[in-house]
Amino acid sequence: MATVTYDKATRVYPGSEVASVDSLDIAVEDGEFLVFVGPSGCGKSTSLRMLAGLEEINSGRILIGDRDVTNLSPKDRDVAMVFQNYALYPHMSVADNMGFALKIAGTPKAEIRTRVEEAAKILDLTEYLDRKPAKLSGGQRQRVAMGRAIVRQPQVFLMDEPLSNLDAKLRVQTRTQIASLQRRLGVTTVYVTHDQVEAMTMGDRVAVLKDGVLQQCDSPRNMYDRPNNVFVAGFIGSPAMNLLELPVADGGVKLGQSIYPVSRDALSAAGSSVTLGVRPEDLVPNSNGEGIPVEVDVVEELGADAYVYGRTNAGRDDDLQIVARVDGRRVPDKGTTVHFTPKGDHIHLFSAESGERIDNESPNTVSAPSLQQ
Amino acid sequence: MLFIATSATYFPASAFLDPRSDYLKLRPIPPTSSIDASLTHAGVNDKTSADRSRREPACGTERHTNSSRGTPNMYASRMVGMPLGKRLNSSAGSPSTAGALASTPWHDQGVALDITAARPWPALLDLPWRTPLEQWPEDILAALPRGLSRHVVRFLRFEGRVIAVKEIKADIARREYNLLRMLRRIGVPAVEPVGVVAGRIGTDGEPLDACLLTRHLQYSLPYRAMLSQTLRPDTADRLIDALAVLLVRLHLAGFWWGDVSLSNTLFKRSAGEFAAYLVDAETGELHDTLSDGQRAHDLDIARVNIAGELLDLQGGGFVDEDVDPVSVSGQILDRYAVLWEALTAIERFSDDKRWRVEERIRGLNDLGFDVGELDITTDFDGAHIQIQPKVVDAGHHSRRLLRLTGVDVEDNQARRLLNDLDSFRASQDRQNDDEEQVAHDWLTQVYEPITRSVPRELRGRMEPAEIFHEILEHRWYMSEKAQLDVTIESAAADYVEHVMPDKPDESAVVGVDTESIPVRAKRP
Ligand SMILES: Nc1ncnc2c1ncn2[C@@H]1O[C@H](COP(=O)(O)OP(=O)(O)OP(=O)(O)O)[C@@H](O)[C@H]1O
Ligand SMILES: Nc1ncnc2c1ncn2[C@@H]1O[C@H](COP(=O)(O)OP(=O)(O)OP(=O)(O)O)[C@@H](O)[C@H]1O
Ligand SMILES: [Mg+2]
Ligand SMILES: [Mg+2]
Repeated sequence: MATVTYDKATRVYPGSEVASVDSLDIAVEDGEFLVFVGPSGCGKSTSLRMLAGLEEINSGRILIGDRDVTNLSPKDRDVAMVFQNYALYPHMSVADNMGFALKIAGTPKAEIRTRVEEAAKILDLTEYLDRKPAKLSGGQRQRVAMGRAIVRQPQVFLMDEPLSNLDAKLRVQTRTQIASLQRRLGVTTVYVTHDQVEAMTMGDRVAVLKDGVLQQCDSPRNMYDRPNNVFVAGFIGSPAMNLLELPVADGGVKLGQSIYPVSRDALSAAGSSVTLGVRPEDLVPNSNGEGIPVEVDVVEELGADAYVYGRTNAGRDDDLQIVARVDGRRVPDKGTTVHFTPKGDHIHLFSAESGERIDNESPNTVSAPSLQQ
Repeated sequence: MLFIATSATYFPASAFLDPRSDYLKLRPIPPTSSIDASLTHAGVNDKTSADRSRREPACGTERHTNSSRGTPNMYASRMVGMPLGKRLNSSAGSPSTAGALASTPWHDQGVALDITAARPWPALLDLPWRTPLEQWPEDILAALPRGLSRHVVRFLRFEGRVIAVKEIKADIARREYNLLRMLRRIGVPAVEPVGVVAGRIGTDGEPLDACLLTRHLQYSLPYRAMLSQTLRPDTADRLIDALAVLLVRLHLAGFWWGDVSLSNTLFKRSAGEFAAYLVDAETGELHDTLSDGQRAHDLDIARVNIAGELLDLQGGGFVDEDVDPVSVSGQILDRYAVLWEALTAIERFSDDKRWRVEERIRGLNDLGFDVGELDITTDFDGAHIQIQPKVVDAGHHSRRLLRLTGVDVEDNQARRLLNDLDSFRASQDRQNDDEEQVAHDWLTQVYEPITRSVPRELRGRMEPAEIFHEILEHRWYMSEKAQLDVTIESAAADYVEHVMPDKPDESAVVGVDTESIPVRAKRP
């Protein structure tokens, strides 16, 4: 078991002007499950390959435990890259399917058998070891594939989108399996996905990358509740957080005809306008006509809840898209206008210029803000 | 099966975007009843008989049809939203295909299929898209051998061709489709993508995975068929050689494969060697150039997969126990390294050894590569020269043969034919004649008469160039046995009579249908 440290690790591909991974600084704890997430091309796979020793590091360092592995070859690093596409071989027993890669590494037969048996115990496959994979259920096959990685007993597991070609249902099942297995094994794991839901449900911490630059590395809870900047705010959560660029007024932010009160410190950090972020579930319909007027385009009913998709021109000249979650039993009609106000202090403020988070927790604010008409 | 022509209008894409799919993307997936309620509410429910003529996406979201990394899909035509509901079964249709649909009342089929195809191919709409691929009627399928795969892959007989159909998630299918197009455009041997069919809904109303269609590569064999058919002990080695060449070519083109394996490669015979084609591009990425790390990663993947595949065949008793899968799989590393070095290494030598430039080029030609661009630099003092190939193109021999004779074959076959052309020239003492004239005479006096001497019913068994190669081999054996020169005409006659009838038909070998064992679970 080991910690993993990216210390200003940078990768510039030959022939490329910009760094694909730029001064990455992350300290992964022993036994932690860290997920890299971000849009296509943001540098997730590159970060993982750097750790695996498959990508040269142009500046900075990478440590596994206390060992500086920056210049070590992949096989000297004691990490296992869990391959996306595990095939199962029909003529080989489950045990051989799990253990054959160790043969390539020159592991003695007896040890292979021991490790396979250990892995089988963890995966609940002991009684199937001598069977052929065709006789197994889908879930068992998936576990055999995981067994192939486990038998390597590395200090760190590296996984690059291992679930990308599974269908939605199996994907959900398997991600729970992987996460709980990782917790049982306690092996430090670095996992890559482009799916923020997957990242949030699996990771102890989530690292959001954009254009090779780390935006935030935090627990899923913090990532959701306190996004560092507009990018993270918009990337994490589905449907996405509503982000409205609004004019700053005296004492707060102008929300339609009302003012949403904001602490003086926060206001002084903003300019003449500010980006206000509010999640769909933090918007409450306001029957007094206060808050953001939203013209309803479509309602998606999900049973207990419903999502209202609509447009607002709150304090602006142009229309903005708004999504709000409402009670499934009290759904507004398409075409009507509904007013929404943010729930309590569940709003996020970002600088309209830099996109960075502005803290709105002033020591003077005693009670949750209420709207001033 | 009849397709009513009136519905064969090309509707604008937006009219038939499938709003239901937007709900199915939500996590957690809402219950069907609640989706139905929402769709009805928005007036876009495809399951009621309500407004079916025009639909709008549920929340203004456009369906992205090109999810790959910026690869343009310039030439693809899209047939979007041909409603399956306008199809009727006719009693003249093939019984089992009709049966597959007959169980469904056709008025319930107002489902928008989304077909992306290289060229419009309306007959594609007649296929049983509402049925899971596993249950497609046997009479429209071809039982051809396949490699291992996690997805369901089946071969379809369709308008005189064979098409490989793979059931796979829509976004991955489109990405793979685009990557295959790019690969073919940059001239790397890969299967030809035909199209993607998405938006499938089963007869039970549940969504089905999309299908990627590729043309079955004629005369190609998956390694399993190759290894269990030929008894030559070095077959595995030659397969690895071919795969190494393919991998080097892919890497030179900037393609990272991500799933290098024998299963993901198709092999064609090429005059005693094999030519390899890429068949599965699902995990690939295309860059301008690859880093050493990316190449090393592919090689690592290749090694593990090949070892697994050979061990598996050994487990099934198809490969001799003498073969050591671990060491054979290790050969990919050596073969690759040698070839990569030959194609890309920088060479430095003193100015008086200029012949080494020529030598390097000739060496590459022997390996089957043309040098498109060579970097030559000299030192300040001019005493040393440094060279490095910058652009190399595979197919040196096949290009030369094509230019001389118009015959288009695999590179090693071309090498073989060119050798015969050389002997022809020497035997006729025409060293000083115009090369193209001699080539033309060889074509009309030797190559064509010999390949045509094979009876028509046997011709389909192998490609003509491969038959020619076999006849040359056969002549060599006959000559050695008889201790005198046998003419090619009598070798051909003997070959057709005694050897050819036992050859399997390789245009589309009918063999045991390889079982696929998906890692993924089947739908209950
Ligand atoms: N060999 C290469 N040469 C130049 N640029 C490259 C190379 N490989 C990757 N890149 C670039 O580096 C950046 C990061 O790529 P990387 O593969 O790490 O992204 P990713 O986040 O894993 O994306 P995806 O989700 O699409 O897999 C991208 O802009 C990519 O185009
Ligand atoms: N166009 C084609 N021509 C000939 N054979 C084909 C073609 N397409 C697919 N096949 C056969 O089907 C097999 C499976 O196809 P493919 O590798 O694309 O499936 P897959 O499920 O994506 O595989 P994997 O498990 O490697 O991801 C191949 O090994 C090959 O033998
Ligand atoms: Mg495959
Ligand atoms: Mg695949």
